[in-house]
Amino acid sequence: MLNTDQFIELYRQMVTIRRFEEAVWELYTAAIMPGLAHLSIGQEAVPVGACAALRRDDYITSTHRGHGHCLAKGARIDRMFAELLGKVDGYCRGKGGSMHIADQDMGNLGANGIVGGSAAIAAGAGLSAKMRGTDQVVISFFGDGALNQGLLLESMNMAASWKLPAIYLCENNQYGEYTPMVSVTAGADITARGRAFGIPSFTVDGQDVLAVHACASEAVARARAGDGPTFLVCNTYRYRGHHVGDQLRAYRTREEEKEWEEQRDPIAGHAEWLISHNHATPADLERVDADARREIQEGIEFAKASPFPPLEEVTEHVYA
Amino acid sequence: MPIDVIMPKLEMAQDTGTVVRWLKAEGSTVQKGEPLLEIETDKVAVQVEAPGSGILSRVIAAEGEEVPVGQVIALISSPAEAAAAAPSAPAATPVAQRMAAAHNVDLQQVQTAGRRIEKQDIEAYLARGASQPQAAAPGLARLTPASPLARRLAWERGVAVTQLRGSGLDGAVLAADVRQQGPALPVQSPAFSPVVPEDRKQPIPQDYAPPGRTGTERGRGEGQVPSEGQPDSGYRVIPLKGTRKIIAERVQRSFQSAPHIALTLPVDMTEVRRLMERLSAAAPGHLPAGNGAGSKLGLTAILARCCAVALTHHPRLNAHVVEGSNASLEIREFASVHLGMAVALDDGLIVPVIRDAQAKGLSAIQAEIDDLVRRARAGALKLEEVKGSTFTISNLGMFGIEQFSAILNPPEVGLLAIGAIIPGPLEIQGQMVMRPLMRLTLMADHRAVDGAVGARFLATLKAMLENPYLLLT
Amino acid sequence: MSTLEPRPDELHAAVNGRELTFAEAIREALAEEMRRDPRVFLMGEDVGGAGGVFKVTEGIQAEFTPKRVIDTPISEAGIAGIAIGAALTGMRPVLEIMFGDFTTLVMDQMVNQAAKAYYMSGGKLSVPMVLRTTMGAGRRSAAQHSQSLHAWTSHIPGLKVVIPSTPYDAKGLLKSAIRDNSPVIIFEDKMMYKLKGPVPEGEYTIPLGLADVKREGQDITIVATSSMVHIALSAAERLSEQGISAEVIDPRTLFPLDAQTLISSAKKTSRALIVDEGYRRYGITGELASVITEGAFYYLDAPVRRIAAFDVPVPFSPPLEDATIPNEELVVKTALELLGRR
Repeated sequence: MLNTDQFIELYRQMVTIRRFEEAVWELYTAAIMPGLAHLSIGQEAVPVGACAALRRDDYITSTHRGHGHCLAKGARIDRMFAELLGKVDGYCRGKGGSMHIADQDMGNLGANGIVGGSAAIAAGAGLSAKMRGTDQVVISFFGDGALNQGLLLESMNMAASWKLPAIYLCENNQYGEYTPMVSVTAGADITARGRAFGIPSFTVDGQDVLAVHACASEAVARARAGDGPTFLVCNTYRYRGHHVGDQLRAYRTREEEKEWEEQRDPIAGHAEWLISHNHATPADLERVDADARREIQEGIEFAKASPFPPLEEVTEHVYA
Repeated sequence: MPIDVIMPKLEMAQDTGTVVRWLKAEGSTVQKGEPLLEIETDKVAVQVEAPGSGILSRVIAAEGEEVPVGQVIALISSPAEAAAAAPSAPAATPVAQRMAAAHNVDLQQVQTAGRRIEKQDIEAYLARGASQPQAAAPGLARLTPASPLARRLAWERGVAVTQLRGSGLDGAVLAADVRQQGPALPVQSPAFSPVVPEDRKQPIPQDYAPPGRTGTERGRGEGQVPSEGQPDSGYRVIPLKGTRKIIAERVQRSFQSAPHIALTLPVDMTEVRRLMERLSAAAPGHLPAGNGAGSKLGLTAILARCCAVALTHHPRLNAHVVEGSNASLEIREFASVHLGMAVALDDGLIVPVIRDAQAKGLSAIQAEIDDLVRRARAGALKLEEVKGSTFTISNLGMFGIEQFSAILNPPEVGLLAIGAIIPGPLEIQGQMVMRPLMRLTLMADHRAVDGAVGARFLATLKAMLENPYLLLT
Repeated sequence: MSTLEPRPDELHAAVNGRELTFAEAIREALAEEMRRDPRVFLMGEDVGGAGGVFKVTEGIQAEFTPKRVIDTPISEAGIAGIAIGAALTGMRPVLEIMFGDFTTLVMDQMVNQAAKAYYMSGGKLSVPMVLRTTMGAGRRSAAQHSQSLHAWTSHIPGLKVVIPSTPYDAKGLLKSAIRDNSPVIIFEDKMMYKLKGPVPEGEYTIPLGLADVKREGQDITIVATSSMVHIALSAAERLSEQGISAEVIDPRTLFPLDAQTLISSAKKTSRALIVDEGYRRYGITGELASVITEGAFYYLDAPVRRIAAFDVPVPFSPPLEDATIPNEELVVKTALELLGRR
């Protein structure tokens, strides 16, 4: 059971992710950030709740929409921004960018530009932990788009067969890029896919950070105990488009967006819970928000001040 | 706007037409309606007329090329357009222009980092030219298929691959073709002289191996059979090209245009030998060696010296027969003796020239011979060193040849063919004695030299050689 | 290395004469590395109990237990991903993909994941794994089990590609590959598994990126890979009967590539011929020909020629299949053409 500080920490992390993503939006539209930016605004409860169940030496693999996973797994804001701007002080010396942030020190095996591309890598990290005799576990984050990648199913099959300490966590934000999930995904119950491999599989309210945390904690405990993988389907929603450039969002209605934002927002919901359960006052939460904004601002300044990598690095790090 | 010349569609089912022949060259003026080219479809061959008047500024489809109908095959431009399209001279500083003119540099070829070509750009261009295959040459060279190695060797040897006939696939010039050409030798040099064995250094046996025997252990070095050799047919083909070709053309022309006469006179070389022994015994210091130590006074130097002096007494032999200003032939007698010396090379020969030989002493001539022969064999002679001889000597004595006739080196009227020194009987004061005899044969162009004139020259030469102390006079 | 100086494998053969097959040499390398380093483990389809479809890993599971010799489901992409994940987190997996044709199924994992992790992470994540797979036609296995797709992976920065031709090289190169910190792919010609050759007992490795002059010569350079090395050597022998001295060079690794040895040889002989069993178009032969042409252009006396597999799916019918594979006859003929001896 978590204490007050930890409850507030969940709030702080969610707010930080949101402010981070809002700043990315601004950096991107101001043409300061190159490339693509896939924002996870609206989905903050999933990475925060899940990673709160992990130790520092546990692993995660992430997705193209991975800023939240990175921050929740302990990444520093300033170095993340530096990476997003392609600067030398970024986590990957500017070579990875938004879609490929990796931070081995925090057990982050990397975001991934290939949908479903890291599903088996996560299982491999689980196999490795098992072979090395540690009790490390790994969470494989992926979106609903990856549900239909064969690699995910291959990986689940092996994780189940070999009882690997892997948690398959689907962030079902309802849309694979510009296509509604339901229109391309067979079977009413996604969790049935996990159960087909004999994997305990659950649907979770992805907008409730405490629910996510509770389910993830149980899955982590199973994995640590050597009882194999768990499949969690967290229902959530991305408020923005597939990426910053997806402004039209013709595949869904403004009413639907409004409903999620106004009635199921994970940050507002958790704030309400903290206040109603006397863990914090509105003023406390204001302060948390203000701190987050300041930290984001400092991070951006840091990133802007950081130089681009020297050109000679272009041929470095091809071979280890 | 230039007018497009298109491949016409002449039949219903025609997709393409083939350019058979362009009747107008690129750059030439054409009138509307004038036949411009011949094309061929699978049914007909027709002439295509120019669709407009102007300059045929660009031919796009080459002869033999099959082109879809409707495609542009050439452009006709107005004179103004054509002039605008022509590359204008790049801007250059006055100094750069002067330098370019002095070094015969095409400013189009010079690169510059700035807006105008400057002095250092010309210098850089010239420096590059000295260390790289000429960039200026590709116009023609590009049309000659040649292997990269062949091009490199050719460049190193100062040979133009365009002058060589290739033995490779598609007639490509290969390294062997260049090597066969012999060492560096400017192709334009008037390499020529009379009969000198061509393949003096060529090992004969393997090249003429009988059928069925294909020399298996052959090395890669000198004398390797070129790949085009066909041992089975009993002979190999050596294309007449490069220096060989030049020699062939010149001797043929000389032999056909100049009526040759040959006069032979034996000379007693006893005193020359004595002179040579004395001089070489007299300490080498007396004869300053040319470029290398150990240079010894040789027979050729003495012959050259005597010959030069004798020629000053017989100017008719030191002459050219050439076409004069009024297009008729004339004889030109020269005051100075520029003595050509035939030098045999691996395959061919070259005739470097000792200038003003009549004014040079023995040691100077010896030094010059040593230097010229060495550089001739190394392929390092300059063009001016093989031009302008007024008389030529050719010595085959070292091969034991007793006497020989030769072909004149045009436009010279005389050539001295020197045989070996061989002991022979001589009547001296009623007694037959054995003496070292050398037979000198004067080859002369009868158009300029009559027999008696030649005989008198030989007599003078003989007198000098039999009493070389006359050289002191 | 001069002709007077014996090659290490020849020297060894002269001293104690131990010979192993290509398969045995690989097995010995695997076993030695697994004994040396507990992080090394094997995984693949039928590699354990069955000892591999080509019997290369026979007996390995018995020594190292199923924990370190893992039989996997038939999920090529999945097992590649698992190997990558294990390699990212401290293990050194050796993955077997039974047929080179099936590397098409692992392309995302090897190309987008394994090859890029080190670079994309700015040098923080590394993937020290080996992917062993096969190549080579001639086994009457038709179009989906006979291809030589080593060019695919050689194209990718971040991957190393090893292509041994002898038991000696296979063992020494595989040991180096396992110790390498980058992903390495080894292509083993399945037609060579029974090929015998000298392999000394005990420890040795061959560095990746070092070509081997399999035969010295003066007149023409034949660069050959994998089983084509043996075809090139036979051809060189026949050429020598005609007075032609052919140099046979085996690059041994396609990346890193020992370009200098290839270029130096071509400079020496002025003629080069490349023989490789991959498809001809956009393939290894084209790349090696370019390397030689760029490096030795002004020393070449003929165009660099290529001999490769026909650009057709490998046919089943034996005479048809044989026609698609480069052979000694063709190498001799092409070499003679290059030398102007037609």
